[in-house]
Amino acid sequence: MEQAERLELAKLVEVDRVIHEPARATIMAVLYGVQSADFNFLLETTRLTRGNLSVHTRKLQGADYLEIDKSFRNNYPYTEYRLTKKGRAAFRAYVNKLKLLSKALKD
Amino acid sequence: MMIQSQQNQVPDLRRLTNLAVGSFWMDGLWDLAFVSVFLLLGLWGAFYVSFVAFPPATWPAFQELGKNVVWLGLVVLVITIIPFLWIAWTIVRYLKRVFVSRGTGYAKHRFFMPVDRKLFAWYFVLYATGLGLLYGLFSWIKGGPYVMSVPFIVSPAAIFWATGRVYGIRRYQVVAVVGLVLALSLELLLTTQADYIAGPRNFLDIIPAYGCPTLACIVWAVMCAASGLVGLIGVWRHKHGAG
Repeated sequence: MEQAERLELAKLVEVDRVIHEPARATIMAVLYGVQSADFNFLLETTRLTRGNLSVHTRKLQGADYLEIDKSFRNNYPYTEYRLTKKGRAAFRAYVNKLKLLSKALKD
Repeated sequence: MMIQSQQNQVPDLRRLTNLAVGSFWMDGLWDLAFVSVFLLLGLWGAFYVSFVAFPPATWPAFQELGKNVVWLGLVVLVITIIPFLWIAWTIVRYLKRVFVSRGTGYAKHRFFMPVDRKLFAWYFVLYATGLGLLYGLFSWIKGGPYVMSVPFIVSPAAIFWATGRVYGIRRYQVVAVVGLVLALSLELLLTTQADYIAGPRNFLDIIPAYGCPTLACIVWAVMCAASGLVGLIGVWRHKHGAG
């Protein structure tokens, strides 16, 4: 294999490790479709457990892909999640990379 | 369990995004808002067709205006419908947050949602096919293409079917088929040819070149009301553990 080809392939398989985990990719995909969502909506849509959802959203927040707003509504805690601009761009780049990789494998 | 493709346990990302986008229509509130949109369209259609098909002969200026009335009518429609949609959007978002979200969780949707390209593909294929078929059918059976009616019969059916298909909302596909059959049958059965000189007796008395868009709008308003109620019943059942 040529050096240039090897470099191209290496670039291609270099995916974003923060998103490249099924639970986190799921959360990102759901939030990509909306402006923001609360905890119950994410729980319903992703079908993750409460604990898993909390852990993975914190990880995404740590990478600046996600903003978490905590407040109270009718005396109940209310948590709202939204993707940051960086998060949206990272998710788009991740999906595009997967598409390229899938195309390369087919060729 | 997350939504995964069965072969390799990888989450189906596009489907998940579509599921999040599709949740906007799931509870049926937008369908209920569209009842009024269809009634407004129907009212506009009644005036528009009667003016274009039967221009008032006593005022020649109107006949001159008639040449531009197609564009003027569309401009009036767009100017009326955009604020109407914006108000409906705001009210629906408020109702979702206050009443529906307690059972299903709340997602704030963007006005310009990320639309799957498949939606456009489905819509245009269905719309173009439907237009061709129905123009032919009306010309064959009723002696005229029903130029104004056919888009009002086909377009909502195509939108409902494509949205239901892409975003996994099954009731929309049922609504599309039932609405299409109902609108088509009523248009064929109830409309009569008006006497051109005497003018139309009511909105069902038409000339076959234009048809009766109001009838299709009424059918789609009824279908939207039914779909909205089904959606709300689904939310209620979900809240009470039956869904």
